[in-house]
Amino acid sequence: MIDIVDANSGNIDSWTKLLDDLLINYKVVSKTSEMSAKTILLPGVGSAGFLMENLRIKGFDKKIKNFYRSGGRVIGVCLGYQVFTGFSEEDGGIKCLGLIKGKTKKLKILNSPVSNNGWSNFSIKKDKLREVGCFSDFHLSKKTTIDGRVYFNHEYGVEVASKLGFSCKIQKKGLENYSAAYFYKNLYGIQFHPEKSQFTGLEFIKCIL
Amino acid sequence: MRLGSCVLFINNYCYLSYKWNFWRPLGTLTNVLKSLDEYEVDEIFLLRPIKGEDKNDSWNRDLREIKQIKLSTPLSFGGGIRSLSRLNSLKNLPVERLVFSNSMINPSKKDSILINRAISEFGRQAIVSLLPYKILKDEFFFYSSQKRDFIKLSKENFEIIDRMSNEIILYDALHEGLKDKINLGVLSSLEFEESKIILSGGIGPSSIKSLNKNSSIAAIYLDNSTLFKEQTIKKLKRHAGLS
Repeated sequence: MIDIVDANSGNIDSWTKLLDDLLINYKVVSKTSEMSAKTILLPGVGSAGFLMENLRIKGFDKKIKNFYRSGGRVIGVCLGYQVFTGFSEEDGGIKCLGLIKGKTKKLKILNSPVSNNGWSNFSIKKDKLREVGCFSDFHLSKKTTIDGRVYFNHEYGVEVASKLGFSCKIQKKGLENYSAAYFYKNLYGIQFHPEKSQFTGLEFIKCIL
Repeated sequence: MRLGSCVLFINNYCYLSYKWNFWRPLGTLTNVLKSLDEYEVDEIFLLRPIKGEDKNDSWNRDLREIKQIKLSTPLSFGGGIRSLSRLNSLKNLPVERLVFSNSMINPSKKDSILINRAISEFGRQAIVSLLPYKILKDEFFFYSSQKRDFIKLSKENFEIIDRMSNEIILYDALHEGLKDKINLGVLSSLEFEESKIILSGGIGPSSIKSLNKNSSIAAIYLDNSTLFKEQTIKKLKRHAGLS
């Protein structure tokens, strides 16, 4: 079972349809009292300020932190991943969840602001995930390597400062300092949209879930 | 450069459009999107072609249909996002980006509030402008559904559009549905950064080849031909340097 956090910010519909197809049980939760699964999915579309405010109003911020500290698996996608850091530059500077040592910064190439819209290559080996303590709960795929293209749509990116865990770079010239995904034990941060990354996205989701 | 497809959808049905005024039925939304998903186009732009009044019945019906779709390709949606209540109704649809046209062209105070709310709730990366244009005697005119006509835009209008949009779709209204008829001079005539521009209308293999070689635009949206020939996408992706 997966709890999908509905903080009024996120493309939840794409995820519910995908999980339906994979025959994975899920619950869309809009109150902390409804949470009961072993995995939390935090999708995110919007701005960091808007998402964090909604998480705080509903008490999800504390709940997610406590859940993570007690060993529960937390998956953040796009903005949901960005708020794993302690701070985001978006909306004039926002304090975030602080699950990862690092910051979310405006994407820049040679000091010029850019946005990253479109497809980039992404590859990851399952062994690498196991090395940092990430294991699949649902065992949906026997693939050992995911290699293909994935879809990004963001103006801010995560710079991971932690030496723990494993961060994959965005494979695009000038954006290599930003993280495409980060994995450490029960924490999975994904900057791209696997739910909209066609075949590779689906294989990746099957691999990590 | 991304290779996407533009699909016209209104009152629960998809249409082909030629030269802005002629429509032919194309099929149901589910079938059209399923085909494009299978062809693995880079993204799909679903456009409700509203050229005047947009009744709530039609809006609600179309949204119900969009909510049903299953798609693993990024989806942009536009046409009729004119109020905060309509913006709210887009939450939880399988849509990544929102496309504004009328609200970006000469925006009123109400339009500015709408766009700013959209930026806050969907993120600036999700905001795209659509500028359907035609060129008459070397001058550019842009379609305003509020005025129901093509109008000239001021420098200030362009600055607002540029500031508020993550990307800008320049839609050649008079050449839509025609192969390789787009006037590529549009790129040098309008002072938008090339990397923010998406071109649509009158795209074909030659224009794709030329754009891939000589420009740094963000994307191209194919129009009518996309769904007729399955081989088209593969061939055009080669022209765009994508495969």
